[in-house]
Amino acid sequence: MLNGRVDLKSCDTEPIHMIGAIQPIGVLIAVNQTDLTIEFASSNTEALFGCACSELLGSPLSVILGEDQCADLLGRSLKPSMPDLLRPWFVSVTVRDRQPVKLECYPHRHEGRIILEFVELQDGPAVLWEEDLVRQRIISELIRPDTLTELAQVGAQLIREVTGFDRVMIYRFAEDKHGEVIAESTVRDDSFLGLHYPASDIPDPARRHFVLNVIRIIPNINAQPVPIMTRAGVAADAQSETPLDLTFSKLRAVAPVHIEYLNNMGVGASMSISLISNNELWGLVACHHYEPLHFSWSRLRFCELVGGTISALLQSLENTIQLRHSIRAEKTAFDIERDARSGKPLGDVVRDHAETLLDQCSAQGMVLKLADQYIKVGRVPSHEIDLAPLRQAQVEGIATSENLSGLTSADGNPDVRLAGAAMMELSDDGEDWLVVFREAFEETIKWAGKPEKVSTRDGDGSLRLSPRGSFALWREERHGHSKPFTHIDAEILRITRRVLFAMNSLDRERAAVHAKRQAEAEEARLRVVLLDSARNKSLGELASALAHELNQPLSAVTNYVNACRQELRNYGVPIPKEVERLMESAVSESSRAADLVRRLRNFIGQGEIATELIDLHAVIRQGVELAFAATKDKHPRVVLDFAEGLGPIEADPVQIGQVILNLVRNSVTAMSNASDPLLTVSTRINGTMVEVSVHDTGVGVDTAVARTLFEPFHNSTTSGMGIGLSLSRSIVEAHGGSIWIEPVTDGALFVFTLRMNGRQDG
Amino acid sequence: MAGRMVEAAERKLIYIVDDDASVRDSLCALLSAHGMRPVSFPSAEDLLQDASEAHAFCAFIDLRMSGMGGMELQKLLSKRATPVPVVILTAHGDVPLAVEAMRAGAVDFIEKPASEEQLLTAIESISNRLSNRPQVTLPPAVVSERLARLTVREKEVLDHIVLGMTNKHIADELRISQRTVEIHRARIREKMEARGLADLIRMMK
Repeated sequence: MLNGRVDLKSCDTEPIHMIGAIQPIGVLIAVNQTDLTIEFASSNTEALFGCACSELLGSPLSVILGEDQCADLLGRSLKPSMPDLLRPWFVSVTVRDRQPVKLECYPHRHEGRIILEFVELQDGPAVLWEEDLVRQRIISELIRPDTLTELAQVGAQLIREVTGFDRVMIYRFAEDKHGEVIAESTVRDDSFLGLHYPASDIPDPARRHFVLNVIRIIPNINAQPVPIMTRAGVAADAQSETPLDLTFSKLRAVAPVHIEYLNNMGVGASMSISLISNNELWGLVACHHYEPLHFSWSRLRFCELVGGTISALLQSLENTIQLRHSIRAEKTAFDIERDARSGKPLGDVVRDHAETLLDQCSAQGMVLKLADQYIKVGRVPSHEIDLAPLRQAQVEGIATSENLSGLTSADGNPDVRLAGAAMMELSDDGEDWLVVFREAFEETIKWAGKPEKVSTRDGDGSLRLSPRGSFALWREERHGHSKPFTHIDAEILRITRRVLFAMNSLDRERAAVHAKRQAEAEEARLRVVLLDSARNKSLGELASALAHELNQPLSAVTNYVNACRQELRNYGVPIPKEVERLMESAVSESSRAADLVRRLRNFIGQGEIATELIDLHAVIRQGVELAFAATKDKHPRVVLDFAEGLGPIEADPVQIGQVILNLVRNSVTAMSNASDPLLTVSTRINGTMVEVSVHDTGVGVDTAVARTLFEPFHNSTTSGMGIGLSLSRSIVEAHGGSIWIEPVTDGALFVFTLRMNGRQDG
Repeated sequence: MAGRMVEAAERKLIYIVDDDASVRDSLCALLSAHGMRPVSFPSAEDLLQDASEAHAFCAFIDLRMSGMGGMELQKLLSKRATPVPVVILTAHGDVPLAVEAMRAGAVDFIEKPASEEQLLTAIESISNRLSNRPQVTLPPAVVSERLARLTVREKEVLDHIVLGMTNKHIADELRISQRTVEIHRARIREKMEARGLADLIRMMK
């Protein structure tokens, strides 16, 4: 919290720890730490010691404290504690032969010097903690509250009653350093409770002092400060050659800007006690009196004790609260996980728990994106919001912004009602996420106080140094901002994201397993279909081939017999009736055989061609896929080199797919031992025909075999290229195309043609 | 119509293109026996290369051949200065393709195994056409008269038949049984006085 930039607008140009003066409520002496020579002295030594500071400067410290007390001093722990506390040293000061004076001294060592601050020892009811009432109240009231505001309220009241200040407020600093009055005890009519003021109201140097020193008292704002003189006889301020660093000084004079601020509010005396939790400035007890107010240092030390107690309780409470929030978030996470594991889709689970999630995140709306699904709950932006900047700001999958308009592009015109957002990444690929939205702060925060009743000094344009001015400035600063995301929020977001991410992964895994199973089932089904179709096709092919193969010799027999009979007639050879009958029988038996074949083919049913307009390339892709699915051989690299501008062609997709399947299957088999199997399927437009080539880098086809490759039942037909090629030929020819094998040096190249304009168009 | 001796000079030059050697050889034998002058080629490419100048009476072409198919060859031959009439032979029962071939100008198609009569009739009809004799093609009036004999359903079936559709395909299309289609087909053939599909196609051209 301390390393922000210094806001010079609200801070004096002079560093406040080099102010070179103290308040007139004590005396300051600073000595060289080695020889204890007095190097600095406030100009008011006369009042307390009875001798002028010019006399003391350059003298040894022993002229004031004597040798024994000097030795005592060196034996003390002089290093400022963190934060520095009031550690009084009760001394007796004897200058020359004057009467000894009993004083309270606050010594500390800093930058090679020992700085001693003397204040009067005040009599009266000093030993406050001896008062039973106060002790009881600390024990019974202060430790009881279980909320921060309640604790703050009790603390404020206790301090006001003990000190007599008109107003005691407890400020809480947000993570963005802006402050809020969370508790107030006052005798006045007006109230600062609920007041917010911008971070710049307390400049960084001042914050630094709050962290280093627990308590700070200004009994009279307008009292004339007392300069600290150097041996050279000048004030030891920032302009001098030897300024004195008053960082740990208890009496340090008040910075002019702060005097102005307090005067603007009509404050005459003030005290602040730092509330430090987890080593950070958590807040401040700010006490105002509308007149000067003096009380003893022992009472001040009591206030320091109460402040420390409050700090400790705050820390414990805050840890408890954080724990409570975390436990609640964990419980929600547990519920979400339980529901998600029961098989309910994550989107539905989140919808079910949306109200709790929003409440936990102090958000008013959410958008959940899972794959293509968008789930919106509560108040969400009415238009698309650019999430890229949020995404870029992500740390461990979470990004927050209290100012969406600063994150969206200028023309994005953000929803004015929603100002903040927290994004949780729910998958590593950035596809899934949850964004919760917060309303603008000004929608939710109102100052309960009555700023018009706060007395402000006007006329010098210093409105902004007044509570009203501060609140207005803060509201302006916060415009378009949401309530900031705190470290508790961060923890809740972390817990929420953790479970959602895990469950989303589970969902995705489930989906993947499901998809895989489906793919496997589909592949198995394809195999069955393929086998089935291959069997049917084979039978059909068998019939077709039989018809073809038998019809040819039957044709020949018929022709031969007819020719024979005719030749006999030509030669005038009379044909005996019996021979004529035998010849007629030969012809009619051939015809009967042909008939049988035809009936067999009709019975089994040759796959009829059912043409439609097809995308040949899609059919080829499908055929290749089918062939791969059907083979156990390793899949080759595939190059599909398709002709551009090929429109739909009229063909039977199933039959053409079968041709591709046959050719590719042969190719894959032929390449089963190839080192770099490559299958190239290309199409080329050639006149009115489209030419489909299937080229592999396999073992190739023997020239002798190539001649009879497309004939079924041929001796040379090998098991690998069985009836498939003759079937392919049947199909291609039935489409009016032709199929052949082209001689190539590597592997085999099968080519078939199809008409582009369909069969009917001659 | 049966074979008669013809002088060598009058012998009709007939191309035979089929990739099956025995079919080629047997068809050559039969056509020779009937006084034609058959010249056979194992492929379309062979014919185009070796027989480019000869004037042929007609060509019997197998529909399915490796390399250039029958349809394509038919197209090339029909585009010649003196077009060669083509008779398509098919062993596969590729009726739709054959129908298409006829629409593209083939004079006839014959399913293998072809009867002697089918072959000779095809040649005779080409011969008649070339010599301007009364054609096998009937006058439209006769066709109309025959068509009038058909029922609405039969006409519908006929429309499908001449597209080369199979019985099964027609049955699917018209949502009737294959058996019904077969009956319709028989009736149509009877009423139209057609010997086969080729006749029907010619009539409906």
